[in-house]
Amino acid sequence: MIYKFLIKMAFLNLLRSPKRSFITILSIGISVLGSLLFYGYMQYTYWGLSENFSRSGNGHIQIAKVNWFDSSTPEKERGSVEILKKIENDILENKELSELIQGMSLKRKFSGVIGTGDSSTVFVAEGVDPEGHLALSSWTPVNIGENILEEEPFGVVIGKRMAERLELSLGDYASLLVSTDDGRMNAIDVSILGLLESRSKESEAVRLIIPFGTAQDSLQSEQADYLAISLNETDDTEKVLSEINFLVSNYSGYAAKPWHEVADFYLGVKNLNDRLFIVFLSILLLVSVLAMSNTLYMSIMERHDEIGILRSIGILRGFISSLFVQETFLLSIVGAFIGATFALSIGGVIDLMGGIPMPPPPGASKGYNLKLFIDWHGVLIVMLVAIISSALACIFPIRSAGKTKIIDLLLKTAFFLFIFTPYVAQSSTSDLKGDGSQVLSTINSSFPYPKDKSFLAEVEFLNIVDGKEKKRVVYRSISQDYKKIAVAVSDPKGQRMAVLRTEKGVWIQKEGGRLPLRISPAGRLVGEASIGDVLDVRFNGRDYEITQMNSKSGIITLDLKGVSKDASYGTIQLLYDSKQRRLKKIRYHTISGKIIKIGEPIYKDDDDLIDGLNVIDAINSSNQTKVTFLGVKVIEANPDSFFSRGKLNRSTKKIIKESL
Amino acid sequence: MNLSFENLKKSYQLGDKSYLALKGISTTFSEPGLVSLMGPSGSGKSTLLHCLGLIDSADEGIIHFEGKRIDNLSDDQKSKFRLVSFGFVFQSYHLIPTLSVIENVALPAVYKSRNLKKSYEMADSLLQRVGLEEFKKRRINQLSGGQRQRVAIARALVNQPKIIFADEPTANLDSKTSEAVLDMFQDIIKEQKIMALISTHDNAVAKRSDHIISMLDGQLEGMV
Repeated sequence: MIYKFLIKMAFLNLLRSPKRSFITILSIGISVLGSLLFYGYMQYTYWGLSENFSRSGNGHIQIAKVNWFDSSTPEKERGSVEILKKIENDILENKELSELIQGMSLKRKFSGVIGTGDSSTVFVAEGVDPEGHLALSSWTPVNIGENILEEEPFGVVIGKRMAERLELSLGDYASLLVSTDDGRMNAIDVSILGLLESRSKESEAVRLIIPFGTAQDSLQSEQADYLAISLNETDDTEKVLSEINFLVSNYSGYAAKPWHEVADFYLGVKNLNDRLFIVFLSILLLVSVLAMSNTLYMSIMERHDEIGILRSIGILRGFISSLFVQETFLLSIVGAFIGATFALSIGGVIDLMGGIPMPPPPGASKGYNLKLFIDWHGVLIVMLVAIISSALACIFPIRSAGKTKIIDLLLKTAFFLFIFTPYVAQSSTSDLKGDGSQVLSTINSSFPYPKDKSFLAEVEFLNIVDGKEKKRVVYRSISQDYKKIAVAVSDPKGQRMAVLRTEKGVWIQKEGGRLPLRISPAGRLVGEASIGDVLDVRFNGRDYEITQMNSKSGIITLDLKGVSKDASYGTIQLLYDSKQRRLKKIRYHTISGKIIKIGEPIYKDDDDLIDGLNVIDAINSSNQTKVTFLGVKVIEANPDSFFSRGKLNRSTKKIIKESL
Repeated sequence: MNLSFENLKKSYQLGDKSYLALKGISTTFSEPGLVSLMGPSGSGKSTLLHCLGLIDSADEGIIHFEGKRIDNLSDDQKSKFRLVSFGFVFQSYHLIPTLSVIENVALPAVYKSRNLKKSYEMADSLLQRVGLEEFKKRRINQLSGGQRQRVAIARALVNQPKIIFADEPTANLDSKTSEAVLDMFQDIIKEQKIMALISTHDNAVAKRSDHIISMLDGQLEGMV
């Protein structure tokens, strides 16, 4: 039952940030698409290589003497023509087997010299049965003229480049000089029946195809290299092989091997491509793990409060983790499905187009049409790896969120969301303290206080509760570096007071009080504007340190953390509009992260100087204090008369005197 | 019902300096009813509430609930404890925005009982109790502040806790809504004989309380 709830929550959470979910799905989809396209290309390459090998004369299965396959001197390990023909007959007699076979031929490779009387060149010949050759070489048809024929025992097919080199045309005659098996020389005259074009220029210059019987006669040999068997379907190779193995077992010293065991080139390319695919897949998956991990990290950061809420009401970490895992699975399954659908569609379209024309590979004379062979096996593997990697990606962010204290999760997010909602995912965050210092310096210069100079200031505090003026006080303050004194001078009814801040602490003396009272900075934290705040509103960088700077749509947010015992607040947050060059907001937080008041700077004219502050109690917004900077004057010496209207007792006067 | 703590200390790090939020305080709450924690911001009310509610850990000290020591439980044990015995109401409501009103209320019960039907029935009756039955299918962002706080209260009550911890529950509400929420909250507490510990600046809350504890600079100043 709970899982119904879980999946619903996961689904709703994904819909909460559709843009982010879309980007994550897209990144997984692209990874899967890329992997499957590469897989399809590889499969096509393997298919091309296998078909090219088995349908270009070599056959799908080769039967030869056991040692012939791996011998470095295969000419010494050739099989008997008689035995190989017996095997061929056995195969043909097996009706079921012969139905799967497209054609068979004995094959014999040899070399020699071909000449026309005017010129000559070497050749590498293949002796094959004319009938079987048609089936075996369906991928390398004769391009000009005819193939070798039973009726034309001395008719041969040669490479086009060889014909050009020897200036031979169809129907011309040439002489072949060969060495017989017993080492004597023999020569035969042949006529040119056809010309071959092949992908390899080198092969085209030396290739010659001759009927097996003629080759046997000219070589005076009773030996053949192997019996090549071509199948209707390459996929039947293993099935046919097992039956042929059974037949061949009657002939001692002979064996059958499938094309993939004898095609060295295929094996080399496959091994190389398989490794490339693993590397490719690993890189893609690493990228998708990082992208996913980053997305999740953002999502978890943004939902710290949700995690905090769930944990505060007693839900175990494991359940919360499974919530994120569900979300990850949903995203990765959708992403993988979309990627696979696109890959299959692209493969299908390319197939319908007949492939993408590709230029000739190095060393080849002809290009080819590229297709993508994406099978369900590949789709399954890639999707599975994408989904598993996504699950892996969520481990670190979930663990990190799980380790965070509940209270930190709740408070951090309250703080975080307050500033960034609803654009948290798009904002850029940095802890560029250097840049932050510049911004802070600009903000400080917008207050009407002289920089690095002693000054006298008059500030009015107008306290409004529920829209009604409650109290109006004018303070006079004097500021000398870190020493600041303020005295209430114009509050005839209320209780006047003096506030003194020195490096040794903060004192407050109320009218009528006998002694000045030393107070802790935290004790001054009230929802109203604090006198201490406006003695010198500039953020001095002494009690507060810049911890973070964020920028979004021209609004720079500076986080200042209280670092000295004289810091009144846990954190202060400044929101500065860099386009208008104006401070927009000041947020004051307690040490536990709770927001207690909000300052809104008042700009009355265009001089970019702040004329006052509207301070709103964050807990009771009907309690507001309007602070107006009435006047500021740079001073050389402190005039005694400045505080004359403040009724201060002797000990306060003493503190002031000592301070000044 | 008995909740006691001894010599509870909690500090926060301020740069390289340490700020003591709770300075080794001790007391016992033994009766159901409304207990208000009052004091200026920074006096340690919320910190105390968080420590007692096991959503934050004290640096030192012991907390007992019904004779059992609970401050040294493992994280999972604390979670189970919160699920079964405690309820929380926060200043900023802390509801899950993606879920509907009834889903928010039912969530702790679904998790506890694994019985969707029974949990929804309980959530339904609580929503009726807090006057939000007709809003049960709405999303949280379609509710006013007062309504959200009622949902939070209903959620806190759904597993029939023994104690509810409420951190400035009326701070974000206007005075009329605040009164209405408090009336309802007080009635339920009396009805169900629950203890509610509330940190507040609001005198209206304090006036309704059975006991008021004042705090200053991390210390208990007095209990009325």
